[in-house]
Amino acid sequence: MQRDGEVNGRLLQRISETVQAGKTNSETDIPRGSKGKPGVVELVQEALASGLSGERILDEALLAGMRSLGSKFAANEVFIPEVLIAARAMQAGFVELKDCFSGGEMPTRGVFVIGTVQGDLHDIGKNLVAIILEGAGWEIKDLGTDCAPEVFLEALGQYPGCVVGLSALLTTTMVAMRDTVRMIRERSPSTVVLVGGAPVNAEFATEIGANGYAPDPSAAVGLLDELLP
Amino acid sequence: MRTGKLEQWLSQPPRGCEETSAEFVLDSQDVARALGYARGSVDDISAHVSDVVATMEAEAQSLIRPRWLWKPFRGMFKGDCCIVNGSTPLVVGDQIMAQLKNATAVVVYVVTIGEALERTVQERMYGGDNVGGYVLDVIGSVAVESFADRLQELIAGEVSEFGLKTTNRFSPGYCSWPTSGQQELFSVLPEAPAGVDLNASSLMIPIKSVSGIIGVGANVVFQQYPCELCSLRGCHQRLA
Repeated sequence: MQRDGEVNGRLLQRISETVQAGKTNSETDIPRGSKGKPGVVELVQEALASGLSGERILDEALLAGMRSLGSKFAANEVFIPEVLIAARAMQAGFVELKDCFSGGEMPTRGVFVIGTVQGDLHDIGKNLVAIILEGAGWEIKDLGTDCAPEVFLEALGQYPGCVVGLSALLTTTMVAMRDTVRMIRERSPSTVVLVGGAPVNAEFATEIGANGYAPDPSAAVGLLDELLP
Repeated sequence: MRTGKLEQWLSQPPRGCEETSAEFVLDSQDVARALGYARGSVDDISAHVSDVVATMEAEAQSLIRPRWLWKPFRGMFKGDCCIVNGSTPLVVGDQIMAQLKNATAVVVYVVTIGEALERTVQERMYGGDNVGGYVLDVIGSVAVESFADRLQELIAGEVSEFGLKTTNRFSPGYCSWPTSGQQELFSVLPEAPAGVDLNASSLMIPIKSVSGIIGVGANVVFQQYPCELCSLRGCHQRLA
């Protein structure tokens, strides 16, 4: 019995490491030279066949892999491309687990509504945050770019209890960010709102009434863990 | 003699340039640095990411359409304003004004790599290739900055013939020069310079564009570490 536990523990650890390496399945050659070796897909299938629950595989292997990579990102040991590659491998693992959950719906930390504020068309930063938060177990609702405050208010009605993330890359659109937070507060004072983007900082976030400022996608994961443990 | 040449240079009409991407070479070290690899060394990049970068650099060659348009103006300075074209105030702020105060002329410029690359980034990101889309976006940013550097070199070369030097490039949105300053900046150039337009929030379309000013004078200084002029401490592009 204990031996089974050790074997399963090693398998979960191996999946976590394979997520971090970004190896989706045996067909891919990521990392280079790994073609033919099992990837996340095959290892998750093996874990399910050995009786491990979907919940454990999800939390102790897939999400654990992304958490570990997030720490390495914060320590400048890996960079955004590696995180994106790992997120793709993790998504492939998600697909294998869908049958484990009722209606094929994965359990999530909650809904994270994200958008670039009105007047701003930049969306790469927003997209990165969305990808990495999805990797941390959040269900993402991406509203796109140039979103008027009303678009966020509509999402509040559509996804009760959601967290809202606002992105701005221009100094001019920080004004739109301020207006959006104000209107969210008027409609739903308890909604958690995070802000990010090059011209924004923690002081500005506090000043406009946001709950927090995330300088990068990894920090957004940590901030949400703090605010909504 | 030199004064006469300078006057002639200042009176020239706006000058444009359009290149094919074949004439344009990206610096892989710059791309590595912009992707976050702090040492800017391609050796730090994993083999797979390296492959993606190489593929995207090759794809970018057919997507980059470099264009620029620029015009020199006699510089007049008052408070935190640089006045160009006789009466158009560019409210650049104290930090930039400290660099411009000794300038005798100011070049106003717009540089772009066009919109094809941006469209492909969107297609890749929304088509499921986040890695390729992200890398291509970063390559686009490096390309437009690199093209702007080339314009700076061209201008520095021309004014050196009059015994003059150039400052760094300064753009609205940096160093407390509000992004809304784009409106005044664009007003002294022909309509849609280099094919670049502004939207209501003063964002340039295509997005991969750079606009700004360069000071010219005998006693101006080019800062090797321009990030020291900026108060945006948390900027991921910060070099110092």
